[in-house]
Amino acid sequence: MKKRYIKMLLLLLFNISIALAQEKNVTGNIVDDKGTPLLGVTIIVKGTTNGTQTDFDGNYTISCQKGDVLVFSYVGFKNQEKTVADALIINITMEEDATLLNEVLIVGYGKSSKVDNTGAITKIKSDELDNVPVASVQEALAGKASGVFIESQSGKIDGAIKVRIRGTNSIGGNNEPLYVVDGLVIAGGTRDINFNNIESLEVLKDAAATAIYGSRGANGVILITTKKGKEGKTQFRVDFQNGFSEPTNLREYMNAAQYRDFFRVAAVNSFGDDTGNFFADTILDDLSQGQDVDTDWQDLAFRNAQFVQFNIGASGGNKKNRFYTNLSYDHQEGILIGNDLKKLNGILNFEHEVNDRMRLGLSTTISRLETNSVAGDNAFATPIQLVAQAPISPVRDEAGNLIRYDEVGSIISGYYSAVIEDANSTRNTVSDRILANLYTEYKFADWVTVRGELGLDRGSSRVFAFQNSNTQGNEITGGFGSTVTTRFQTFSPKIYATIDKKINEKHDINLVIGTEAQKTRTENAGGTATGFISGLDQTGTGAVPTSVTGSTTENGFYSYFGRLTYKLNNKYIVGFTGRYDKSSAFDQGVFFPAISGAWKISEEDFLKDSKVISFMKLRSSYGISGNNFNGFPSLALFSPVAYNKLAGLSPTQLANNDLSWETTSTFDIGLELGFLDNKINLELNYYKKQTEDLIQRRPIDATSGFTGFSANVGNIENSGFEVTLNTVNVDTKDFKWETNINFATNKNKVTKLINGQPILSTNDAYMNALIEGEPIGVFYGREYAGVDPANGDALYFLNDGTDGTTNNPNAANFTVLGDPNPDWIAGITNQFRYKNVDLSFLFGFVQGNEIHKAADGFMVGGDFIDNQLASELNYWTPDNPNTDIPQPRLVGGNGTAASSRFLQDGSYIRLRNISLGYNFSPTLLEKIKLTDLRIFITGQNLLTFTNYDGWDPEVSTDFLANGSNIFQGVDFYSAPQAKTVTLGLKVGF
Amino acid sequence: MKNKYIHYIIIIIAYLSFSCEDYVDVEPLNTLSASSALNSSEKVIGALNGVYNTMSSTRLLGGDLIFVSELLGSDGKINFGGTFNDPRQIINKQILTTNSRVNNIFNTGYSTINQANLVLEAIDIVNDADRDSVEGEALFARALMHFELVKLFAKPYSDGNASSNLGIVLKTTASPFNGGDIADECNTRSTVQQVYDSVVTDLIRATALVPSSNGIYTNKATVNAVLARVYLQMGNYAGARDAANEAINEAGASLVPTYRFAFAQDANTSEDIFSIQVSEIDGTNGMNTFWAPSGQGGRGDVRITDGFIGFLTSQNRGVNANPNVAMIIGSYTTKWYNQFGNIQMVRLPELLLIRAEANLELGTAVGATPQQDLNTVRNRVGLPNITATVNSVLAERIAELAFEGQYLHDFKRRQFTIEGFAFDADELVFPIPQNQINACPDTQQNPGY
Repeated sequence: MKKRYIKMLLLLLFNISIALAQEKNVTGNIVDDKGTPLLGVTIIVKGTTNGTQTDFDGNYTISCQKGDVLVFSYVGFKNQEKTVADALIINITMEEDATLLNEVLIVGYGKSSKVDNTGAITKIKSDELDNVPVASVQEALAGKASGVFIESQSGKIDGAIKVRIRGTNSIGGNNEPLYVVDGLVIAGGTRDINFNNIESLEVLKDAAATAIYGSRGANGVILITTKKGKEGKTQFRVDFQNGFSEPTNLREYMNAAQYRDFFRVAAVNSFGDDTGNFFADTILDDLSQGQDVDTDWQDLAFRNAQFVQFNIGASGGNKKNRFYTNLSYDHQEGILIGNDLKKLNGILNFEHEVNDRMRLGLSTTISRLETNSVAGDNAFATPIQLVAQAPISPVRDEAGNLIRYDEVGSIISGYYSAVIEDANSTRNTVSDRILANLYTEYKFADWVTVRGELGLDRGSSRVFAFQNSNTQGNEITGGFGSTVTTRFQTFSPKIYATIDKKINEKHDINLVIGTEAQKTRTENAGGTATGFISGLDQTGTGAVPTSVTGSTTENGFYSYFGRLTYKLNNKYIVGFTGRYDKSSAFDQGVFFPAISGAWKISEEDFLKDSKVISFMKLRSSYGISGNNFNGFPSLALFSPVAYNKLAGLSPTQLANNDLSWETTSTFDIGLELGFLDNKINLELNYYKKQTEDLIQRRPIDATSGFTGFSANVGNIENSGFEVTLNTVNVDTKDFKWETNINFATNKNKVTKLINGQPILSTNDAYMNALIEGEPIGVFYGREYAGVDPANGDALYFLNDGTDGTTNNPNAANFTVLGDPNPDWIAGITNQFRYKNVDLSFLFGFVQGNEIHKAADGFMVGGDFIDNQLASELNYWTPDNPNTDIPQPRLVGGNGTAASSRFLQDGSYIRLRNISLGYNFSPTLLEKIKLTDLRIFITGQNLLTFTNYDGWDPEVSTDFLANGSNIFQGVDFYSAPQAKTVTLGLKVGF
Repeated sequence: MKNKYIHYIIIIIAYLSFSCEDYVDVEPLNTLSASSALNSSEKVIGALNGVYNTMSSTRLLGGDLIFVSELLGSDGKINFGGTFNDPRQIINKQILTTNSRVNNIFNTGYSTINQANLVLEAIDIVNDADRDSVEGEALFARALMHFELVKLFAKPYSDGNASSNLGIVLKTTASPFNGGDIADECNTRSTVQQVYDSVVTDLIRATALVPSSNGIYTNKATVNAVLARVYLQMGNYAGARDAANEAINEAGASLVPTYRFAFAQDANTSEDIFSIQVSEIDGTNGMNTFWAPSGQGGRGDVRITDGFIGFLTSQNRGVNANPNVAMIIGSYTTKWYNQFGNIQMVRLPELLLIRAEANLELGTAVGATPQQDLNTVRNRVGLPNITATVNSVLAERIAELAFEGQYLHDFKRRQFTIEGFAFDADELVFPIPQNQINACPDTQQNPGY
């Protein structure tokens, strides 16, 4: 300590002697606001080319003269200027750029910046995704990006996740966005990405941003950029997280005594005293199996689920070679019995500078996923359907064996159960994947770069299932086994040139032009067998091979694309984008264009010096993008069939030579504002998307032998308003508080259907429909009118123009009842940092959608042997005439038909994520030779505020929603979401 | 040095630009495009097997044609206890035009007809040895499907107005392969008479073309058996008698000694005239699904009523002291106990009973006396000889052919009421499916819908 002062003093004295008009060396140390030294900060003497950079410890030395102005700049931080006075040491604390306005934005085939970009793009940074305890990047993204609706189907750990960017565009096609990882387009399966390796994630929303992806851009594009190594000392990182999950909510069912009484009442109501009591006695006896129990079957569906995640990585490099690598292992147990997910993920990103002009690199991800799944929501074998079992039923008989209630019963049989399925079956999927992108960049001149990429997405999976002879349907055949292995490979080369030139200080021109091709080949092989000896379950050990599968499919396309951006006086920006795509699916190639413009109003003289408005940009775009289809939708096809074990052929599809892509034209207008030195950033957007030529099955006269063919008919429209507000509320040395609010509305409307004809559900247990002028999947059905106080009948509105009612559900006309699509969604994130402690929490809002509780018809009315909701106990009796619960009637169907009775507002506000962390101080870390040490506790879905009385309002039952854009918002024995708490440790050294 | 990198880039550019078409030059590998589907004898014969395959699906002969007839003609014999709505509508005679089972029968029926027409239009490509049989089998399939559809979707022939009652669309040409060419075209319904005439014509042509012996496929006995059924519906007893007699002579079939073992077998039995082939690896037994209890591969949705079990037992075809030969166990029939068993379409006893009924109506004894035929069927189940009358033959049909889909059509042709509905009641006729009305709004819906 003493020594240092003496040294400084000496230096000072020495320097005074050579002062004035003398070159001198200024030194200093540069740190960020947390005191961490910054590597690579650029220091330039203003107006000269004299500059330097900081070293590993944040130190620099620069020679300059008194009176010179030093400019300190670093990506993501505000520039600082300091005039050199007498002091020889200038230490700087760099302030993070609160606005994010100077941020680099990754766009399709290139980069832009937040200030100059003309499209609607939302950027999510790595720290927003780090260590969120969920299974996929989409779940981690929920609530964070405006206009992006994310819904996990249910609490099944391997359930599908719906992502809708600005609404639903397609009825029969795909509505998921395109995922691009480091330039490589990947088909689905983003669980293969470890989101701790993500540097940034950009959501491209309007045509200006997506048209460059042409036929694949209509649903929006999610660009994922993984972390790259930086020049400097090798940094190691280790993360460990451990926690547990449980269901967000349970429902209340009757207990054994209530069930007995209720069942008897229902039986007597339907069949009179004698017969009713006889039925009740017999059935209750059958179901109780001579035991006196009160079984909580719902509880048996769940378990306390463990969550373990382990990450280890290193990154670093020198001037010529840089690398980033990471290996992770996750084991996430689902909250349902028999449901879990294991992930092993590795990444290696390597980059090499061949010389000043050329560099090349390889980004690779390898992963393995292993899932144990449970049956679809509509199967008795799925865990949640255990709630249908009677509480008077014991799980096991007196000898300790599980009871098969579907084989019990003299009048009616009971139900097969998930407890039996879980004990006697396996549904296991193992999939491997490699994503690799080899790239090379060559700089022909400072303003011309050509980049070539060879992308490979290759994977294989094995779906294995086995049900032994104790499972339903396999008693006689001695068990059923199935194995299907699939492998696929997508190869995609591309090359594009980027020209970036400033002419006369006034004109900025950026041109990207390139070509890309892609070919995918998928092969599968597998078989099924019956007849297994106990102890053997591999499909090949079955005695009777019952079926074999083996197929190969190929898809391909090639494209030419380009984007021209012109900026005048750093104020006016105009952009043109175009892409031509030719695909194997359609005969004709299609061109997708877009035009966009922006006006940086804050660069105008009248705003330039404003103290309040620090940034203002108006931008707008219009363009067309498409929705991709695979296969051969336009060809007439014959499929192989078999009869009598001989081969045959059957025509399966009619041709349509005119078939083409679905196209979406999007208009977008946005205003970006920064206030008070960009401490407040506001972004407003309005958009209108019109999707035309929806590919639908055009019905034809069925006596032709075909019921329809694929044709471009049908339109759908989405429009909405988006607001993003980022504020830095407090920013002092010890305390910082930031808030991010995003809000988005979307109005979806089906504007054209074939012949204007509504398309209703073919199964009247479900009410989703397609009706012109209504949103996709609108609920259309009977309108419930409550209970007749006179007799306990469930009543329905006739909806025949009168306000009359009927007790006959089949006499009630259908009407529009509700909308499964939310009116608006929002997210509010608050981040606090006080000294070494940080806290952040995110509330997600989903508002204005209805949910159809389609299974509740089985839980009310005493219609059958299913256990009933406890709320049914307030049923109609002559003494309780004014109730909304109809009189229970065994097989009477009183009030059980699908109707608005089972439709409920599904709005919710959810504490999606909360995280509390402690970062050990740099001084302490220095002593223990660490660069980073953080302990944190994270909670996912800890609080939910909703009026929905089903399990969980974030729901779309898998057996309907998978493969349908229409059957959304249906709750059919769907598992509630998991709420998870984990404790984690992050170490850097 | 510099040149080398430029070369590298040029190679990439060359690779991309010269092979673009390779990326989109993709052919279907798991299907055949229409242009190459019917261009050889082997493929046309394959297409004929495709006709059998579609016809044998669970929507038609593999289940539903029998199932829906039994539901519509339940008449107190069965109850439906399953959760599916569509069968419930049918058994309750409250059928909605959107009923998917009705829709599927209609669509798949016409799909079979179109496939048969495709085979017939490509018949010249078939090699000499197989051509006649292929043509005859395709004609047979086309006729059979028209016959099954007209029975369900139109008023019965027996109501006397066959020439004016709307039948179904008669389809004797194949549809083109381009959807656009048929998008705006709708066929109109022919009369019941026209449909029956066409069916008879096709079947008569088929009898001359198909061989006497053809494995499990259509042979002369099969065609004559269906022709006998058609004539019976038309009240043409002479035609029915002669066709049945011809079928019996051609078939060389014999009754299975134990009634129970005439059903749910893996292979055709000695009394099968024509059966849908089902095995572990091929085909689905749609009757098993609904009629067999859990534990026998089914859902157990259809239960036989006590009353009808009593009748069957009195006819020695119900509950049996020896459960191994019982046709009723609990409230289920064992006829569909085998998940992978064949489904019979026509059995020898039916032909004997047709010949007996027709001989009785005509006062003849072609082939055998009615007495002999009736008692052959009765004696097999251990019932004593009785005097043959039309009513005793019909009663025998109810017992012998129980749950095989004939009851409804027998009652309609005999003008008997079913559950209080007149034989020609609107409720006993299916609606034209809503999808078809939507596609062709001018299509005339059946009365009552």
